[in-house]
Amino acid sequence: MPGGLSQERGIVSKGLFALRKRITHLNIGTLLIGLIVVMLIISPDFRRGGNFINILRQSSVLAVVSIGQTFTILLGGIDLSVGSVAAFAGVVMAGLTCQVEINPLVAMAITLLVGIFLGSINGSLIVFGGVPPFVSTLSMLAMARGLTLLFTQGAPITCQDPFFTALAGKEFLFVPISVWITLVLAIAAIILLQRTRYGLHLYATGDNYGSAFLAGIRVRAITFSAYAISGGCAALGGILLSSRLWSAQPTVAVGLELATIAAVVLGGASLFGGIGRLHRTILGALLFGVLSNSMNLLTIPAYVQRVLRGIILIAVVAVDINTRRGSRPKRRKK
Amino acid sequence: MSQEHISFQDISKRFRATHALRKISFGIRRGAVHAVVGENGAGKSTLMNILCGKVRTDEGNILIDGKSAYLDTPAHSFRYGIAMIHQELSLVPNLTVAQNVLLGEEPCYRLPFVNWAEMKEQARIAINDLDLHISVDDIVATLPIGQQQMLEVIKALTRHARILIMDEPTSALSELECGVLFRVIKSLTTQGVTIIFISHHLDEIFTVCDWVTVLRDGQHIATERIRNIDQQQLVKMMVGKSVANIYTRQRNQSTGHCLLEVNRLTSAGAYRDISFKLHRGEILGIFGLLGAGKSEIAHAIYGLHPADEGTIAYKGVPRVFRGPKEALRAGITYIPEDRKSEGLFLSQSLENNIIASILKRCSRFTWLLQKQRNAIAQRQKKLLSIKASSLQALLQELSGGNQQKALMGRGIATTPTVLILDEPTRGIDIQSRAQIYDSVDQLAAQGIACILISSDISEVLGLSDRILVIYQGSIKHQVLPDQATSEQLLHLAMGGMPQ
Repeated sequence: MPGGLSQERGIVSKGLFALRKRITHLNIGTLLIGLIVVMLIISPDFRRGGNFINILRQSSVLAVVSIGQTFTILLGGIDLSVGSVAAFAGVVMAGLTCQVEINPLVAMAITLLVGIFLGSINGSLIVFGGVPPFVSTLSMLAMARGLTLLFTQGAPITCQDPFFTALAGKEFLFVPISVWITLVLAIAAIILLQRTRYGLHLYATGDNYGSAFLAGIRVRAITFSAYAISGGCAALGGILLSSRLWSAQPTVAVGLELATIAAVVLGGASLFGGIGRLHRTILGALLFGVLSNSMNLLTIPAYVQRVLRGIILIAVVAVDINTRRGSRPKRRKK
Repeated sequence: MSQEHISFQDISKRFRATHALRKISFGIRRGAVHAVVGENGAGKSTLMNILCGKVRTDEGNILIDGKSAYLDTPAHSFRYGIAMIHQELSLVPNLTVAQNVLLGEEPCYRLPFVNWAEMKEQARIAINDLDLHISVDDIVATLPIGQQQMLEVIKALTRHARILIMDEPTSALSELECGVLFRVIKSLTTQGVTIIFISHHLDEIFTVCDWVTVLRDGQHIATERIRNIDQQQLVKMMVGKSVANIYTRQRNQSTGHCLLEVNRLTSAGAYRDISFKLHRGEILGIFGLLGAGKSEIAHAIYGLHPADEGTIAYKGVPRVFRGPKEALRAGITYIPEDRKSEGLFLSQSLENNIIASILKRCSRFTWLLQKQRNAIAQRQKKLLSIKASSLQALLQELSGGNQQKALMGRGIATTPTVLILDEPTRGIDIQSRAQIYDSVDQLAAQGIACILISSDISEVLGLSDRILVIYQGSIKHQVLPDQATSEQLLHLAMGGMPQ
């Protein structure tokens, strides 16, 4: 009977709704803490002091690049080129330091500018060329990777310059320099997004482009800047990565764009723009770091790890979306 | 004339073949609440879009404070202090109230650091000025529509608007909120702010406005002081004389058996207590102004948005369709009002558009049968005299009238028992109209029951056997077209009492 069926549905959906309400508090922070607590209990290796530093060191690259990605996603855009730009930046950094042999600090500044420049090309194509972000950054993904392979002819550039290797290797107050860099960048980005006009305008533009434009916000400049920032962050990530490896590998960071998008989305940002918090992106990146570390310690096979990562991503996001949207979509208003 | 704040001089605007505005000239005084009224399509929105810089005039001048004004973009007209409060709101949903009110004008400690405390304080003052109770920390998306509407007003005021255009500002407001809005309007006018008030509600116009301008078919009919005219005269000016007779329908007097019976249908915020019967071969007109809730009733019958309460019986059996697919299978077809966004596939061929709802009939195990497709599409093309180079012509190449006819063709091709037409002739030329009316007439003669939803008075009067007048979501009155004039119908639809 149709009546009976719909009643049954009502009960089921009411039950689900109550469950959803309870899960609302299962946000990224509690999930991360929960995972850490469980691992502390079950794994003695996890408890070792050096392990935490290790997790932080490993997560820093993902965190840095995800910070940039957050800017584009807050605008409802996307930057698919970050992995290639990071690899290219690693090559530029290692090449300038160990082959051209210029001052490594200057090399680092040049590398960051190269990243910002590549990001600006993305931004220009999107703002002035009217090319969708997906397409323009996809082409940048191909171009930057191609340039990387072209410059290196496919061979890694090893570099043992002390400054270069210290970035990820040396510690300051027991914490690796790369982690300090990540922390400073994260705080700066949080201030930029939460405390400045620029940040408010970025949120507004991503939320409702038309309204933002009508309110006198320079929506094009904002859009352009987000991709430049993303390019710069990708370059910094590439520098830290090559420093950790003591060499620039041309085939490194393939798929990093997907990992950053996952971190941002895991942090609760909406791919449609306007919603998301930067500190939660960083927690998202950390969660992936803790997860890989835990799975390694529990000797879960690498292929299984990938499957589990996928499952966790979809589970967290599905719960998050369904708890936030409320019961049913708004009625269309005329 | 120092008192004239805005003066329109011979404003004309054409969109392709249609004259949206012809030589409009009138003035608006400083500090006045000036109503602009007219039927749908009379040219109100075009004129307002010109004033706020969204549309450019073809001819004519607009003087602001006696000086010729350049209103090429919204930013320009903003500089003249012109702000429009749109019917579709332009707030940023996920920001807070304070952030929305001061967006683009944020107070800062020192650039670029926003002074959030100061920002909240300014927003709080602006809200308190209007005696409203809205928390500045609330996220805008969580506020009721009425409060969002008030926020738009506040937003415009904090930007020092001198000319406020309000397009149907009360459409989403409760009685109480309307009262607040009207009080705000009065106090603004004493500060020399000029308000242009667009409304379909007679009572409101006579309550808050000082002046009224009537537009009809893109022409200026009159500008009068409100106290010099009454509601009857105003309605008469809006309707005018009807154009050439394109309605040739013989009324269907005999009632066939009942196909559809809607009983006490209610949906919170959209419509309430809707009951009617629809018989075989009948054309039931549903008339009401924009936003009265007409389409929502159709959506409920078609299974798009189920009603909260009430029943729908189809062929004597209570049914709840869980979606268009079920409704279509049962023989109910709905032709949506917005052909571009809800109806057609503009980059597809005419043929594909016509057969879109009946793919099952033109295919065998998923393979499309070219012959069937062609025959069905050809039949509809001929029946409705759709003008297109061929069946393969892309829909976007067709004129609006022919696009609408293609949509109509798709509906007819489903061989419905009940056909719901939602604004079937909006924005199309008179010849296409006549052809659509003709085909509706034929369908009714074949025994198909039609529901004609429309805000076009002459269309409803000319085509229907019976008319339900909807006002603010409920059936205000049922009238027979032979016993009603267009003035009476409009009067009822605007909330007037039956005489």
